[in-house]
Amino acid sequence: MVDLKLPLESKPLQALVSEPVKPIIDTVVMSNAVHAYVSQSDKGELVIGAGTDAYVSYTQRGSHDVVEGTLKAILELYPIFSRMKMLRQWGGIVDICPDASPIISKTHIKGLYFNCGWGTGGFKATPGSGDLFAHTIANDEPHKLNADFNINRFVSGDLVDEHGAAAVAH
Amino acid sequence: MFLINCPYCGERDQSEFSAGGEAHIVRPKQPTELSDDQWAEFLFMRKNIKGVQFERWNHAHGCRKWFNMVRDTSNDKIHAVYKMGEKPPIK
Amino acid sequence: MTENLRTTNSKFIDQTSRISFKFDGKKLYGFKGDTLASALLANNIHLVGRSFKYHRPRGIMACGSEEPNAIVQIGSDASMTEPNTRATEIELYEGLEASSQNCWPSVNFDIGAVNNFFSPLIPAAFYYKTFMWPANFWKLYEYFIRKSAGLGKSPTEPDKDIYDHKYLHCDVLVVGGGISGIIAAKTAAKNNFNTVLIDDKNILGGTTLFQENECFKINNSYSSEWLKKEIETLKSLKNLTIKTRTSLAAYHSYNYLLARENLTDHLDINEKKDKIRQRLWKVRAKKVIISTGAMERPLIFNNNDRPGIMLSSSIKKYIDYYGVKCGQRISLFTNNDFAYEAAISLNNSGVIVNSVVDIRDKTNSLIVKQAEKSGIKIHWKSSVVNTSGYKKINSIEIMKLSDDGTAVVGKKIKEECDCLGISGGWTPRVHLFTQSGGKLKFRDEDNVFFTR
Repeated sequence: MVDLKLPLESKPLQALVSEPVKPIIDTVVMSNAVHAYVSQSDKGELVIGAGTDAYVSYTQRGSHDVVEGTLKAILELYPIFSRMKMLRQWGGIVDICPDASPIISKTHIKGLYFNCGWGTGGFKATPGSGDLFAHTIANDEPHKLNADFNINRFVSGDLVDEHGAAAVAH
Repeated sequence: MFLINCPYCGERDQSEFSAGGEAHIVRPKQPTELSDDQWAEFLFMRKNIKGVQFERWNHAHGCRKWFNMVRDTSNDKIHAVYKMGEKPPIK
Repeated sequence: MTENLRTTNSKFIDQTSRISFKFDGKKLYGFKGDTLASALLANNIHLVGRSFKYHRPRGIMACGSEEPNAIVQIGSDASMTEPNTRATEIELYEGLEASSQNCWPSVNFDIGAVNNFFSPLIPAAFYYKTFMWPANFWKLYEYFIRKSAGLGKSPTEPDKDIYDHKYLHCDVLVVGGGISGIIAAKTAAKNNFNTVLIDDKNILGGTTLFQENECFKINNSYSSEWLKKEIETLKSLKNLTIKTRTSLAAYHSYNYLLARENLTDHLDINEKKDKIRQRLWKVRAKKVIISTGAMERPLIFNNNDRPGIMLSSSIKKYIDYYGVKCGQRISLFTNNDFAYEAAISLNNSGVIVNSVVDIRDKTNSLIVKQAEKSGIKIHWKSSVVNTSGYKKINSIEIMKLSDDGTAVVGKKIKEECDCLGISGGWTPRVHLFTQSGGKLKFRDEDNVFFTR
C-alpha cells in the first residue's frame, strides 16, 4: 500500500437518450442558467444530461427527480421537444474532486501518476488530457497547462475552483 | 428514488431531502495548530465507501432539520436513521 | 384493392360505425375499435415504412407493444405531430392522420433504398466515422450521414397540449391485466390491500382475450366467459383501482414507479380539445407484482423481414378479434404448437391456409390433431429457407431438415403465399423485473430467460 488518499467521491451521473428523429439541432447546447445540455447524435437521438446526484452511490441507478429536473430545463430551452419520447436512461458513476476540477498529476511516489476526478467532464477532454498526461509521465514534470491540476493543491489551498466552467455544475 | 424515514416527520420522498455528505467528521478544536496536511484531511478526504456508509441528510423541504442516516452505497438500502448527537444504532 | 379482407368476426370492432382516416395522404376507412394497424391491414396495406439503414421495405409484424416495424408519424401539425409511434398501439379515431417514416419521396418509391445495393459495403455495425479521411472531407460526409439520421420528425412548434402528473400510493401495484394480473389484483384487494391494476390496453384480459378455444378452458369455461365474470368481480371490489391505457415506464428504487396514462389520444380530433392529453403517475407501492406476460418470438431464415411476414399469434388476433384477414393465402412456419391456433382460426374464417411448416418430427398435441382433422397440410421436419417479393412476400421456399436437424436436405419446394406467419416460441416480458434490479437465468426446458 502506498498510503495515498485521493479527495474523491463517487456519485451517479445520469443521462438519457430520446427516440431517433431527423436532424433538428446541429450543435451542442449547454446552459448554466437552466442547467442541462442537449445535442443530437449522428443516429438522430437527442442526448440529454445535467448534473450528478448529490450523494455517493455505486448502484448505477440514479433517481427520477434528477431526470425530471433535467427535462424541465430542456423544455425551458426547447418547448418543441415536449412530445418526444425518451428511449433509455442510465446512471454512470463519476469520481469528483471537491473543487470540481480533475487531477492530472505526479505524486510523491516515483512512477505513480494520476489522471482522475473528471466528474462529468471526462469524455470531452479525453484527447487533451491524454496528451498532457503523457507529457507529464514522459518528463516526470507536468506541462504548464496541467501544472495547476496537481494533487497537492488540496493541501496548499490552490484550488482550481471552476464549477461554472464545467458547463454543468457537479 | 429513496424513501427516507425522517426521525422527526416519518417517511418522505427523497426529493424533499438534500444530502450533506459523510457524517461523524469531528471539526478540530484548534484549527490553527494543524499542519496543512491535517487540515486538508479534515476538509477534503472522504471515505467514499462502497458499502455501509454513515451520512448526513437535511429534510430541506420539510422540518429543515439535519439528521444522520446509515446507507449501503452498493445497493442504496437504508439501514437506519438517527438524530444528530445520537449514537449510531449500528456499527 | 377491391378484395374484401373483413370478416364478420367483430369482437373488438363495431362494424356499424365507420371511421375515416388518412395514411400517407390517402383517405381510408376503418371501424370503431380498430387500431391503425388493423385498419391498414384491412385496406391491404402491409408496407408502412422503411428500415433505418438499408431502407428495406417494412410491414406490420405484430399486434401490440412488441411491434418493431410499423413505426409511423402521427399528425402533420407543426406543434402536435408525434414521431415514432407504433401503428399497432394507436386506436383509430375520426380524423387520424398518419404517415410512413424514413422514406423519400414515398414509402413505395424510396430513393434511400439504393443503400440496399451497397449493403455489402456498409454491413451491420459499420462505423460511419470510417468516412473521416481525408479529414477535411468529414464535413461533406457528415452532411449526408446526418441527413439520413433518425426515423420520424420532431415537432417544430411548442406543444399545445395539456399534461398532468399525480402521486399515487398503494399497498400493491399489479402491472399487466392478463390472467395472472387479474387473479393477483383480486386476491390482494380481497385481502384488504389497497390495490392498483394497470394495463396498457383499453380493456383487461391480456393474451387470455385471444385464447377462445376448447383446448384452453379456464375452470371449465371458455376464456371470454371467465374474463367477463372476473372483470365484473374486479369492478365490484372497493379497494381496487383499475387503470387502462396506462403503461408503466420506469421502475426506480424503493418501488417508485412511473406510469403514463393516455387520456385523449384515442378520441376524435374535435373531442380532444381542452382536455388533458396524458397523465404521469408517480407511484410509490409497498409491493409490485409484475404480470406482463410474454411475447412471441420470430424465426430466423433468409429474407425474414419482408412485409407480409408476421407473428402467427398476431395473424390470429387480427382475424379473430378485428375481423381482418392479413392475407388470402397464408403459410405458417413454426417450432411449437401455437401456429396451429392461427391455422385453425384462419381456416374457420375461410382463409386458405397453404400449409404449416414445422421443424419438429411430430407432436401429439390436441391442437395439432384439430388442425390436421380440418385438413391443414403440415410439412413435418422442414424449414422455410428463403422468401421472395420485394414490397410484399409472394412466395416461400421450403426444405426438409436432415435427421440430426442441423442442415437442410433434398429439393426446394416453392409455395406461393401473400402472408407468412411465424412462431418461434414465447419470451417472457422481463424488462420491468430487470429494471428493478432482478437477475435472469436461462431456462432450458422452453429456451427462455426467466427470473432467478
